[in-house]
Amino acid sequence: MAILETSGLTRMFGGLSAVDRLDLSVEEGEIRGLIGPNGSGKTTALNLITGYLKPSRGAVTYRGSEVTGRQPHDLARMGLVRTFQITTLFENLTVRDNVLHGSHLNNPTSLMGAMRRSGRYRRQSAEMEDRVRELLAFVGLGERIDAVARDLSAGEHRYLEIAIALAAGPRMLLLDEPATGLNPEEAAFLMNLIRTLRSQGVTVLLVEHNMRLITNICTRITVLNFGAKIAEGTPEEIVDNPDVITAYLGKRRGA
Amino acid sequence: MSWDVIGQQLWNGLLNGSIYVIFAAGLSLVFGVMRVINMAHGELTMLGAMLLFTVTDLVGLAYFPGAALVVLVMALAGFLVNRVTVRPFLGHSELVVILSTVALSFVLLNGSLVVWGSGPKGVEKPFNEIVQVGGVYITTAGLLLVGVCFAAVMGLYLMLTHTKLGKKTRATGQNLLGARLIGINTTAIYDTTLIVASGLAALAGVLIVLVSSATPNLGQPLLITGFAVVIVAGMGNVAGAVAVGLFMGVTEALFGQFVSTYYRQGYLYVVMIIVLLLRPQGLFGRK
Amino acid sequence: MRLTVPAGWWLGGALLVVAALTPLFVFTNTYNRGLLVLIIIYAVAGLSLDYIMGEMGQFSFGHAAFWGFGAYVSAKLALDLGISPWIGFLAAPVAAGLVGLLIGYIALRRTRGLELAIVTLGFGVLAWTVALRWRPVTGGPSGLRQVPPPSLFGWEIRSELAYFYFSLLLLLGIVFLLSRLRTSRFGRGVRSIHENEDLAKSVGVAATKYYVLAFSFACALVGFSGALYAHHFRFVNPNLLGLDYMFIFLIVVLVGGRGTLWGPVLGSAIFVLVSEWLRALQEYRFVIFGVVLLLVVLFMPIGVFPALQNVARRMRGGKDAGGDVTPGGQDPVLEPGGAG
Ligand SMILES: Nc1ncnc2c1ncn2[C@@H]1O[C@H](COP(=O)(O)OP(=O)(O)OP(=O)(O)O)[C@@H](O)[C@H]1O
Ligand SMILES: [Mg+2]
Repeated sequence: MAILETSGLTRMFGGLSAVDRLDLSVEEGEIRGLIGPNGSGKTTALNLITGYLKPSRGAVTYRGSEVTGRQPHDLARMGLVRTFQITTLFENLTVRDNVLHGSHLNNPTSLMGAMRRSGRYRRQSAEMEDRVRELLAFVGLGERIDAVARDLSAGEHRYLEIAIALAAGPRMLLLDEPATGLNPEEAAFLMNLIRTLRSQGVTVLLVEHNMRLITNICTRITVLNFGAKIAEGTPEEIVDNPDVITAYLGKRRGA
Repeated sequence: MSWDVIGQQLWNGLLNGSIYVIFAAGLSLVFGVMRVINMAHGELTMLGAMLLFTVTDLVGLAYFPGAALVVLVMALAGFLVNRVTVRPFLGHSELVVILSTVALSFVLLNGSLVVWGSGPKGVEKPFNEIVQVGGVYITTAGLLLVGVCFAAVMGLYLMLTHTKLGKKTRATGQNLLGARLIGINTTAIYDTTLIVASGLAALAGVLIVLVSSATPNLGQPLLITGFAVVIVAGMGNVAGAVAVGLFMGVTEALFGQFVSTYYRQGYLYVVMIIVLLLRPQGLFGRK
Repeated sequence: MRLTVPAGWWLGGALLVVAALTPLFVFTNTYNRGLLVLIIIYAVAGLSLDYIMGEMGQFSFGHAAFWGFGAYVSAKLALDLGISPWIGFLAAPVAAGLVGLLIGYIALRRTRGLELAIVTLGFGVLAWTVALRWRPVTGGPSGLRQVPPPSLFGWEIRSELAYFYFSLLLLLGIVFLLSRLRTSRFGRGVRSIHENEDLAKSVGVAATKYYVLAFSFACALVGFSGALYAHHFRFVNPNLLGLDYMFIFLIVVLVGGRGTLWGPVLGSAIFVLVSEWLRALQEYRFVIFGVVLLLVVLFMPIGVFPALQNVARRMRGGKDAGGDVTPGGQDPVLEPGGAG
């Protein structure tokens, strides 16, 4: 069953369509790659799906209900969580507090409890703390828990972003170029993380430039060019697809 | 109601509106280019008026050389305003800059009260004939005011759109970092922006005395009106501020005549609230 | 982890003890005790403005309007309907909070940052104009006099000393509640929007809703401060809604230190006492005041309280400044105010 579907999704900027009549259907449990040359509309598509931009036309369906134009926080509540292409963290907070603040949807404490510091509040806080540690250990940041986020390395930034997203408890995770700025070992670690997530039942939509990474990990790949879908299929099909090759090479020549 | 009354109010509104226009244009320019709310902008206008009083009444200069001197001096003072109350704080939060300009307005306002006292001061006008056009009484001093405002706005427009400096200024406003990357000296742009804005504010001051008197207390109400204009126009949109300033001046006068003199002051803010409700980014603001 | 008392509370506690003792030993005459009450009233107003500035990372230029509004609500209830000031102390924040909800909803849907500052300035000035003009209700420029003081069991709290201890207690309660609010789900939500609104939304924080609620809360708090003012100084007038008080609150927050809880309390004391000292300078006092303000902002842009905290940290054996910024993520009292 498709967990996410877009039909005719279109977004115009001025006269140009950044995303052009995009039909996308992602199955539950998939790791779907979304690739395309620079400026082909990948980030815009992500923004449209997660409610950060309103589509000019078209619809988004998530888990069977239409969610076109819904607010990002509503979608997050439904389990649709994204990360950002440009590293986006709570920079001034510690690593722990980053994940803690990301746990908004999994924060059971009540206002009165917090005011009174009731036993229940403290128990719930302790549970949240455990979960924060667990998540940080999972993304390999267990040692860095007290560091201030802005002091982390580029790789650690990326891991922390994923930890924050996971703290929201996603069913489907949309990652916008999460491997940017990572060295090959870090990228490999990241890909393993994503595989583990999938095995835990999280569906992933992965925007990535690095073809090697994406062909390694994705079940299927969708290719955009000038906002429109030009190909879709298994990694093998995509690598051999002449349209895809032209799109990438053409871009290179033009640039 | 007669057409004469309407005509008279249109004229009165045009006078006020012209002042609003150049006042708000400067305020909006500073906001648009530097993202700074200059809380001392009203006091700069006030200083323009008070200094003109001093150089004409006490020193004995005639209106025109006096006004030219004051505007020039105040424009240069804009450089100091930038270096003393804006530039040192740009690295901090935007709020700190608000506070430092508040502090400046404190100093200027209370300093002026000490120097000049709070009473209104009249300034000798260069000419003061009254002509009657239809049933409308028009003062030549008022005509001068409107003419100079128009010229100032045209000058500002041409500077911003047709000179290299203006283009650099707009580029800086749109993207500070980008402007720096392509080699624009943004420090100099900031200096000039405040020089121009301060000159415009002082110009408003020397023009105000053509139709009313100079007092140290004229800055604050004008600042508030200026903000209302800037909000309705869309923040940082200088052309919008010009159109809205004029519109506000004229409709405010008509409101005062035909609806309520008493609540005239509130009119601008009500317009502002309505605009905010319907179009929070302002009439000419981009979303 | 919860046993360590952070420097903020030590400093704040010391401040309070000094405050509690001063009327007995130093400020012994009525006039000076009145100043102490004023310090507390401005401190509460400063704390509420700092909720917007420090916690939300936003600014409202209309905050004094809610302060004056709260003062008017409580004064009118007492004067026209004979309702006890105690009820007024509740009604004022409720009314201010409701109006804050409405204004916040209008303003916060789209605007943030400097735009929000200017938009709230517009609302504030409109409120001030209405107060000035709506004579039958507000008493026009001269306002309303003879506002009754609160009474306890038939005994009117007219004495400066009693009012001082009464409001000191409330201040302490407010600081305490604010510190706990920060670690609540709501407080963290607000904080996360402050830090990064897009990211906060992506993890499910309903940003606009939270900001509107937080704004309304701050308005309620400042409305309460206004009611305290009305029943202590026993008059209200339109100036209470105006820019002069707005600037005072802004000074209280920024001089004291943004986002530090105790900062506005210290800032308020500094403001009231310094302007009192300068009184001897007569008409020069505001000029000097402006210069002093400029210098403080220039040399201590993070505010006096955080600067003191840094000193205290250094004295406690060179512990690095970042060390207890957020101990265990539990105590945000020490979060640096100048950042962001
Ligand atoms: N807010 C915007 N306003 C105007 N044009 C935009 C906006 N956002 C994106 N675009 C344009 O839409 C097109 C698609 O941009 P998008 O960022 O979605 O591409 P992308 O595939 O994510 O590229 P990259 O690989 O560089 O991240 C580009 O031509 C871009 O310039
Ligand atoms: Mg992109």
